[in-house]
Amino acid sequence: MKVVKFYSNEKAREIAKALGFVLSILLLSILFKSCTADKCTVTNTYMYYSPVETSLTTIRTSVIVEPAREIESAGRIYFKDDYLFINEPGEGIHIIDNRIPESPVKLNFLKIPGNYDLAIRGPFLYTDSYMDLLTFDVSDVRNIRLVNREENVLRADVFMGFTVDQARNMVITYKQEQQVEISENDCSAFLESWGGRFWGGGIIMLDFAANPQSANLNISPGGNSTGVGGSMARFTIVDKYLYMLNGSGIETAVLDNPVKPEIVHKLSVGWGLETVFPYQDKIFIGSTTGMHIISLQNPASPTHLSTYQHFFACDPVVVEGKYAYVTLRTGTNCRMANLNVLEVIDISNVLDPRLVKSYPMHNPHGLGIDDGILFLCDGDAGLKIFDAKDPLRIDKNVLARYPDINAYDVIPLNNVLMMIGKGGLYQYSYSDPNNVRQISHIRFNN
Amino acid sequence: MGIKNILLVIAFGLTTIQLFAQADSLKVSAKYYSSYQLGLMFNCIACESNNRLNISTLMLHGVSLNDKHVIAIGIGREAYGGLVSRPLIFHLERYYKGFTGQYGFVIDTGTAFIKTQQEEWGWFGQLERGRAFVFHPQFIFTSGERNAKIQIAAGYKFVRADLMYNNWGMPTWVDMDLSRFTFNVGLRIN
Repeated sequence: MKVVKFYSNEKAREIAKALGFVLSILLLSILFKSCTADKCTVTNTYMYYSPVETSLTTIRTSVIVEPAREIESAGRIYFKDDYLFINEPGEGIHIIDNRIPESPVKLNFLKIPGNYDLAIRGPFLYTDSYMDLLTFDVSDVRNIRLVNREENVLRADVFMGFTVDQARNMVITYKQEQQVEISENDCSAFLESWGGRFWGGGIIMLDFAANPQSANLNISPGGNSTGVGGSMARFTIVDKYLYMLNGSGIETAVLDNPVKPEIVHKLSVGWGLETVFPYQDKIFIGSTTGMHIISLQNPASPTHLSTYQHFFACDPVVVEGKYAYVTLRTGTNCRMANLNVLEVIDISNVLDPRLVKSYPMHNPHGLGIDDGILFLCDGDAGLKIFDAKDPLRIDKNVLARYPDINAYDVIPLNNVLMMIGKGGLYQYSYSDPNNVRQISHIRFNN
Repeated sequence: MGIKNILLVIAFGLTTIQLFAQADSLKVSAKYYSSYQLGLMFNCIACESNNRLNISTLMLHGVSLNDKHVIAIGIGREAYGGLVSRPLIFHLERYYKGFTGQYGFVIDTGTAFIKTQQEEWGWFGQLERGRAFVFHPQFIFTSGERNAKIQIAAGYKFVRADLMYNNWGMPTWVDMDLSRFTFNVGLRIN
C-alpha cells in the first residue's frame, strides 16, 4: 500500500512556522491583555432642570395687562368672537384683534406667570397661573380685568412643571439647562445588548405642559358662548362645565357662578394626559399611551368609557362623525416610539374604538377637521390638506400640500385656517380647498 | 487611542513596510483572486473582564499580481456585541516564498459603517450615525497546491469608531477604540 505524502519535510517546517505565528498571537493576547482593552470617550450632552424659586406673593401680584409685545413662542391659541388669544408658555396671553383676518392687530399682552392654558365662555376667560385658576373679564379686550383667583385648586407637581413649597410660600419651577459631560469607560454600555436610559444628573421630567411645540389645535365646539381652542390645552369648556387635565386625571369645575368656578369632581384616568377634545356628549383625551373616551352624560361627573391604546407617542386627537383622527409622532418628549403616523379610529362603538387605517407621515403635530377637510401640520414637511370623507383613502385624496413652512398647530374655522408654525401665525383662506391662499402673517421672534 | 495601541500599530506598520520593501522586483502576471474568511475576534482570553469573543466574516475580490503579491477589496461583517460593523476593506498581501511557500503578511485597512443590533432605544439613546476606521495586520498561512487553497491567519485588529447617538433629542458622541486579536480561517481562489 502506497502512503501518500502530502507535505515534504520542508513544507512541514513551514506549517510549523505558521502555527507558531498563530500561537504567538494567542500568547500575545495573554501577555498584552491591556492592549486589547476597549476604550470609549463619551461626550454626553443632556438637558436637566435646575430649580428656580419664586415667592407666591410675587407671582400673585405680577398679573398685569401690558402693551402688545413680540411673540417669542406660541403655545395654545384660542379664538373667540373675532379675537385670537395666543398663549406664550409660562408667560401669559397675547390678544390679537382678528376681525379682519387679512390684517390682524396685536392689542395687548396679559402677563400671567405660570400660564399654559385657557378657555373662554361668554365674557370670561379661565386660565391657569401655576396652581391658581384665574378668571378674567374679557368683555372689553382693551380693558381686561382679573375678577377672581381660586388659589391652590390646580395640581402642582413635577409632571406639571412646578412644585409648591407651602411652608416657605414658594413656587419652584425648573429651568432647562444644558450640560456637556465627557467621560471614559470600557465601552460595555455600547457593546452589550440591553436597553435602558441614561438620565445624567439633575431632574428629568416630561414637561409636556411647558413645551411650546406640543400645542396642537382643533375645533372645540363647546357651545355658542365658547370659542375655538387647542385640544392639547388641558382646558376645555362644554356648556357650563370647565374640564381641566391635571396630568393623570380630569378636574371638573362648574361655572354656575361664571366668575368663581367651583371644582366639583375629579376623575383619575392615567398618566400622560396631553390633549382634550370635546365632541357631542363626550370628551376625547389624547395621552402618551392612548386615546381615552370620556362620557359627559352626567357632565358634572364624567365617566371613563374606553381607551384605544397605542405605543408611547405624542398624540393630539380630533373627532368628526364616527371617526377620531390621531397623530402619533416622534418628538423630544416622545422618543420611545419610532413612528410618525396619522391614525383613523372608528368610534361608532365608543366602548370599543377600533383602528381603521394608519397613514405614514413625516412628523405630524396638530390637526384640525372641518366638514371632512382634514388639515394636518406635518412638521418640516409643512401643511397638508386632505379630503377625509373616505377614511380609507385619505392619502389618495390630497387637496393641497405646503411643504415650505414648518407647521405644528391649526384652527380651521369658517373658511379661515389659523396656523402656527416656526415663522409665526399664518392665516389662510380655504373657501376653495383646492386653492388655499395665505391672507396674513404675524411673525414670531422664535 | 491608548499609547499601547499606538505602539502596536506602529510596530505592525513598520514591519509591514519592511516586508514589502524586501519584495523582489515586481513581475506582474495578474490572476483573479478571491477569498472568503470566517474569523474570531477576542480580547484578553485570560481576563475576568474585557474578554469578549466575536465573529467576523470577510469576502475579498482582487488580483494576484504575481506569486507574491495580492491586492483586493472586500466587504465584511463584524459583530461587537451590541454593535455591528460592515467594513469596506482594501487588502494587501505579501508572501515570502511564493504561494507554494505559503506564508506571508497581510494588511487589511478601510472604513466601516456601524449599526446597532438593537433597533430601538439603547443605553445612550438611538444610534444615528456610526463610522469607523479599520486597521488589521495579519500573518497568513495558506495550504494547498491548486487554485483553491485553505488559509489561516492571525493578527491584531484596531477599530477607531465615531458614533453619534440621539439621546432624547440631545447628541451623545462616542469615540470608540476597539482592539482585538484575530484568528481567521478561509478559502482562497487564485
